[in-house]
Amino acid sequence: MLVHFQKALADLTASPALCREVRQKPETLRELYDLSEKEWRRLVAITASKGMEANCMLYRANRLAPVALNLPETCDAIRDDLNRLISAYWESEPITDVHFLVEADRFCCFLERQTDLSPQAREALVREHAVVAAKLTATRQNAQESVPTEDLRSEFDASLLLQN
Amino acid sequence: MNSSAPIVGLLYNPAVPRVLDALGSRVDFVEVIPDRLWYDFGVTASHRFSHASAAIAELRDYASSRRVIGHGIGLSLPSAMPLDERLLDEVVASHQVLNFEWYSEHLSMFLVPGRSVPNAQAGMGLPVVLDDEMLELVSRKVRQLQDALGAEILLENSTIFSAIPEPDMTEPAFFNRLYESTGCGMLLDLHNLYANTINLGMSADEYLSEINPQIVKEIHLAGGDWLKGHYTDSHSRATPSPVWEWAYEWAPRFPNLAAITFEYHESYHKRIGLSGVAEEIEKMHELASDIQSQRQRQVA
Repeated sequence: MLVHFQKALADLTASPALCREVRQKPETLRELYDLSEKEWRRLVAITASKGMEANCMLYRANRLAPVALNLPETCDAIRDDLNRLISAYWESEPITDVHFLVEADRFCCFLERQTDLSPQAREALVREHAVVAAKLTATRQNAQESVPTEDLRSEFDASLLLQN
Repeated sequence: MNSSAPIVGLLYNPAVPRVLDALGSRVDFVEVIPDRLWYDFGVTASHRFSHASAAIAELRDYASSRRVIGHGIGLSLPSAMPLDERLLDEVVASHQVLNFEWYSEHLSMFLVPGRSVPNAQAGMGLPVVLDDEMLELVSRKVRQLQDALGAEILLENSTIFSAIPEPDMTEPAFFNRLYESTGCGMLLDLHNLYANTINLGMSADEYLSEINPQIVKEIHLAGGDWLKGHYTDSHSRATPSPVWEWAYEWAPRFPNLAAITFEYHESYHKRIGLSGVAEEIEKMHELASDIQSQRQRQVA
């Protein structure tokens, strides 16, 4: 099934651990997804390819972008632990939120629950989380003041949408 | 036979206004990613979209004296799921305000079926299966997009690191058949092709010679970086020489080519520099003039 094939490809891209497991035991894919024989062969070949390493690296880089952009001082303060913490965060929140501020806010909340942050890291976190939270509140407020598009379907004045 | 020169422009990003201030009319058009004009709180939010009003106001100022092309990243046509109609409404709204000359999307999967839109992002564009089922799926959504926008639709070839094995057709054949069934043209990204030749060992000449020349409406140029042995389309540098060579060799053969776009990311503005962007613009104008000369000779 195409749906399962695409879901499997996305899951593999997001998880180097799943890639390793499939390389060792290709049957894992059949256990997790409803795949035709051809789809299974395709996924096994992709997982074994050199390019899968690039897919996984870029996925991580893309997921890191909202955090690095909005929390530079926090990232700097937890530098040695960033890889461990971000991996743990992604395990707890496996699905990316495309809204950069939501993603950054979720990571802040995750970090706040950690008990082993240094005082410098916690200080940077508190400062930057406040900024992220304020921006997020502002965009949420803006969304509430926007005219819902579906209300305009019958009498569409698109300029209203982009002028708030 | 069209004897005019293709127009020359830039993918709009927050650094581009500085370029437009400096270069003025040398930039014929701006290409806009409408998905960057809003924040999306997801399908379950009672108020889903928050519009970036300051960015939109600035863009409207710069767009008032230029043509505008729409270039989307959010609809993910190859995903095995229905089009996100609320998002499509937003794209339509941006078209009504900015009056896109045409609108393009990508032959990549950005959304994962089975998860709620839009928080279903695959995190990057993933390769698609090139078979009849995918052709039917993409054709159906292209028609939906054509109906909704009332504008010409193009699809762009993407950078991939792992081609899906055992395809039923080549990528150029997919684009050719899509054009035959829907009229959807091709946005030929020569830098994506360059990356694919490096990473996948494919032949650019074979790829380009298989494309129906009629379908190419726009060309993208860009530069990239190496990442642990893989070449990426990071939009971080000026266009590399081989890409310019392909552009000079192949672009004059595309009779419907109407626009040439340089893409770079705002985070690399300092690295490329205003003079670097200006140099790309001038080189694109030289290419456009060369294409026009060849078209005029063919008309004569």
